[in-house]
Amino acid sequence: MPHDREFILTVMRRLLTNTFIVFAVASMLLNGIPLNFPGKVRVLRMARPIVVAAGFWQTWQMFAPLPDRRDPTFAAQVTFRGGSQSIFFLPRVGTMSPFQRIVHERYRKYEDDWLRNSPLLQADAARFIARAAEGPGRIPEDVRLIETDVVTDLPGHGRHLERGVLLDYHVRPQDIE
Amino acid sequence: MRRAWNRFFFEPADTLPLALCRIVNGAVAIVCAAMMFPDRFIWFSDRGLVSPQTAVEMTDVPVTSIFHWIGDAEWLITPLLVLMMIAGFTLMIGFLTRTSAAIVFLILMALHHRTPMVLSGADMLLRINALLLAFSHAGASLSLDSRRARSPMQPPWVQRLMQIQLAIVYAGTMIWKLHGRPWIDGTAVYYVMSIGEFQRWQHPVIFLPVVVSKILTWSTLVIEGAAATLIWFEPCLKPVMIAALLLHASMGIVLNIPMFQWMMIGSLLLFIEPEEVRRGWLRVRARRPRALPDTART
Repeated sequence: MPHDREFILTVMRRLLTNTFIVFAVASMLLNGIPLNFPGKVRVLRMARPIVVAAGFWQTWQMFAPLPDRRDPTFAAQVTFRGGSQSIFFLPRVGTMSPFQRIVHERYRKYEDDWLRNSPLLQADAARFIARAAEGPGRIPEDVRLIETDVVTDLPGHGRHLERGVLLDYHVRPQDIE
Repeated sequence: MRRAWNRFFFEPADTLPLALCRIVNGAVAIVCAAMMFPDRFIWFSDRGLVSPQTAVEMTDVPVTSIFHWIGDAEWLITPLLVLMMIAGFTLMIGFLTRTSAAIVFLILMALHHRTPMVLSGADMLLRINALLLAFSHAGASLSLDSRRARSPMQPPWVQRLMQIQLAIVYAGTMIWKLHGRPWIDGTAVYYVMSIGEFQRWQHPVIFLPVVVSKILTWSTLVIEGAAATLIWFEPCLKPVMIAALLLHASMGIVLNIPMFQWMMIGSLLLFIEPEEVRRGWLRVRARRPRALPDTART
């Protein structure tokens, strides 16, 4: 009967909505709140593929637990066939105009949070720079990725410089195709 | 318990706060797509700074993105961003609201799964809000869709989920901060202000006096804690909202975290009392200068 069908549809809709609410709140709580409880790692491992596929993954660290104390600059020293060298810099938000800072904000995220700690991303950056440096008569052979940080010391102690080589990458022909 | 659940999630409520939040989310979607535009090939193409293989290897679970399905999709990036701007606009004006929100969500999913290492808090919140708006009655007020005589009183379960999400943002960040010594000893803001990349404006590095840093650090923790908890209680709502708005406005002026502040302010609107908005709007309209009398025109 049409009346019964309508009732069943309403009940089904309410059931689905409630299931979605429970799933959404559980996803938000599990991913968004950094609290530990017994079995959390197991639950997260099981739930994560679903949470990621549903679009609910999230983290809200925002300068926490430790605010960054490094103001980094990433440079690449490119050695070309024949031995000549050039220096390239990745865009640095701190040197941009107020408008450019908004538009290119993602460089900060990429450089501060990821590039420093990921050899995979460093290799990608080396290949990207090799492609950008390549030109007529300029065939890049090696890329050295260098990070220079201005590190803020404890209050009242100013800042100091730190420099280190992140990666030495030998450019393959397919990298600059 | 069951009655409280049903009252909280399903008792019809005015959709005006949700509509205000929808407008902000639509506007942010437009600006977000516009901001990605100049660097779109750097972040999302195979020849950019992040290869698709790296993006997949660095993610701990299988990711699904149109970019992974169809190989080098460089040609697709520009149309996707243009479509996101259009969908953001239609979401803002409330035209085909649910479809617009779903389109924004799907495009964000494709972009976020392609290069998760450039995501900010604003991106994450926009993605989640777009998903929830796709199920909502956000088009029932302040929209072109509302012309089709849909009642502005609707079950508010999506609004409640978005409110819960906002509270979780505040709770999550506050708990993370409590794990860090600089947030406890009050030096966190000192360090944040000393980093050139976080500054909204180009100026010499600021070394805050420690006392000022302590006041700002601890008041941030207090406001975030209050916005996660006290905002749910009627008597505290206004002071907490004002404090949170001041926090985000001041962060927006000083720090270069542009879209996040707007997303948070937009989400705070979900807690606003609809009647107060209407009264405020009537007051604004009453103050408008009326047409000049005929004698004055001559």
